Amino acid sequence: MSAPAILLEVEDLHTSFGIKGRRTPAVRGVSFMIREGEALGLIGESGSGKTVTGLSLLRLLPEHAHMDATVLNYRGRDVLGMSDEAFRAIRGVDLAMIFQDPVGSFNPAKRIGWHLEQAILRRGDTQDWHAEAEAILADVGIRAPERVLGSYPHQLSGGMLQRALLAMIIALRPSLIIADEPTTNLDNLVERQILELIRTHQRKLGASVLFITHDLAIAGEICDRIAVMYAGQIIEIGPTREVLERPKHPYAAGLLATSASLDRGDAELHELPGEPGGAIPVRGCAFAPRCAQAMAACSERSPPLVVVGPDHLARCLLHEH
Amino acid sequence: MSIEPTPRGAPLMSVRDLTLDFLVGQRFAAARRVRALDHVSLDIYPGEIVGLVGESGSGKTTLGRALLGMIAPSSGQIFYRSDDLAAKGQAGWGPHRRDLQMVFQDPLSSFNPRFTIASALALPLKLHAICPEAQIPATTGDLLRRVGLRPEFGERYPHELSGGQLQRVAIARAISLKPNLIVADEAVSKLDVSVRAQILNLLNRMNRETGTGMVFITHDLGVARFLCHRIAVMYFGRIVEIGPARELFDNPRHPYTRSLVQARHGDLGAVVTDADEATLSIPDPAKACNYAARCARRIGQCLTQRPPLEPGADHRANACFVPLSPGATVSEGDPVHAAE
Repeated sequence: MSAPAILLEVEDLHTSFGIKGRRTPAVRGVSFMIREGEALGLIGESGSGKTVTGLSLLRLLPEHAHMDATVLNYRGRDVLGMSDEAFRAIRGVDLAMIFQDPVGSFNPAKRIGWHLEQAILRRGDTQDWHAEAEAILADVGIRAPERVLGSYPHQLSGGMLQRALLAMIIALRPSLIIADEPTTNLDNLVERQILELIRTHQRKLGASVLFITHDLAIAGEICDRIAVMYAGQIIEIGPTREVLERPKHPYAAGLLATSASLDRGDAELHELPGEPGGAIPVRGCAFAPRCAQAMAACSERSPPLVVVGPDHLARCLLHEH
Repeated sequence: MSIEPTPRGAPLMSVRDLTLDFLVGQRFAAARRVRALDHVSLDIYPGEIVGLVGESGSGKTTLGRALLGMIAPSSGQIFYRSDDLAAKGQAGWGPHRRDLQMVFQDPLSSFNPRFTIASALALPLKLHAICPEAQIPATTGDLLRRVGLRPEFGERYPHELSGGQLQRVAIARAISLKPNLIVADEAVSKLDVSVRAQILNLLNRMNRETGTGMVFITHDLGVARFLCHRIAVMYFGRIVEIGPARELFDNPRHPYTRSLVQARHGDLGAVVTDADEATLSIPDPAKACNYAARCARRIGQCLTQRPPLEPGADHRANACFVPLSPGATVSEGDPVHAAE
């Protein structure tokens, strides 16, 4: 059986902010690919570059940002050299994004029905948007679709609004959904429901998902593969079970040990010393100052990504042979 | 961890029949009354950490603020030791301010940006004459060390610290007055995963070392299980279940508590969908169980009568006519979509 085709391919993505000469790097050489129908989790704490990676892929960066990559292919087509106009034809239809705060994705002066109408008609293959909108809303667990269609965004709760946004995305039938912390602001129960919806509809649509989150446990439930980011780099990437059960990078292992100790109800939680988001050293591994296993070499040279298991890579000198 | 699962002695704070209504939408339309707290009763014992767990809108934050006199209840009593504070209005809290402290979710907005960390910490020490003026620098340095920061941090301004560091300072400020009770409202929910573990360990250690009691408000049942001795689960302004943290987590009795535990376990399929209350005919919502519309175990009685919070013999209580039997596992096969 051959693997599904590669949908998105990114190589050596660099994104920085600021004016010439005084640039702060946010993404420092990120490479990955997503196959058709695959869900890739991008995990990291604040300042790891996970959100900026997602925004870079969709050209949604602010003006003072600089982005560069050696390869950025979508369906085998080079996206990097594409004009803004050509790119807009893909973005929002074939490439859809779910943000943490659904309120910002709606026009506050228009009803939910208007938004769904735009989404469905943009696809251009149906006349009866209303019937389809009702069906999709019912599909995302809304029991009174008619009422929701007539509501303004501010009249709905966060969970309902995230469902309505999901309905818009389902209506567009995208090939790739980039979801950036889509459930962080929601209560635990609603969060579960939304995750469940994303998972079932991703499979139904056969869409690929780039799932950006700080929560390894959530990524573990949704994703086929996981990439862990730290200080603008992917420090570990591999199949979900490989990474969660056999983490090789001390940072990934530390995060997992922390959540495992909370789940077990330990008397003392496993701690990673220090805090994320510090200055990135000019030489060496960015995690070295927090790493319990750091060696002299770690502050001397930047570790490359090395193979540590089947389809499993880690950026750590401990695993270099 | 749970050092004292059984509350002992006289409560430090008690809340009796506390009800709090908000009026909303009064600018353009007739004011609508929203009941944020609905006849809540709760005892907090000295040195105990009580977790208030619930979704947004459950009233957990309102209850925390009412305990500190930051918001006046509509009816009911709030006792500190045996002093009925609510009866005296704002003035009731005056003499006890030093004993009752607060830690907020967003540490950046709880510090004056123009004060250095040391001067922010010095202010309450001066105000309450905790130590002689000359010893203030030494005391603030010592406080910072106790929360795991170097004393040099005192020279910095709030914006120069990370969220985790600032939350440590907020904890230092709260313990500087040696209070009897700290109300912490979502104090770790905005922090990064690795930093959150550090702060939880710190709060746990502080409680053991100083015996300071705490009301820990969170939406995360797993975090509450780690830190709290007892957990009160709130739903729409009411406590629906209360009990020792580990027992409540391992053996939930109220169906709502169980669904929170399941959400935590990542049991995606078992979570109920939003019930549409319109499809359910409830004669008088004020007399029905709040949770009935979403509940898989609902019986006729739930629609006509509100279940009281019945204390049991084992320090546990739940407000449910059809509680889960002790020993029932969370995977017990209930028709979860019964509400449809």
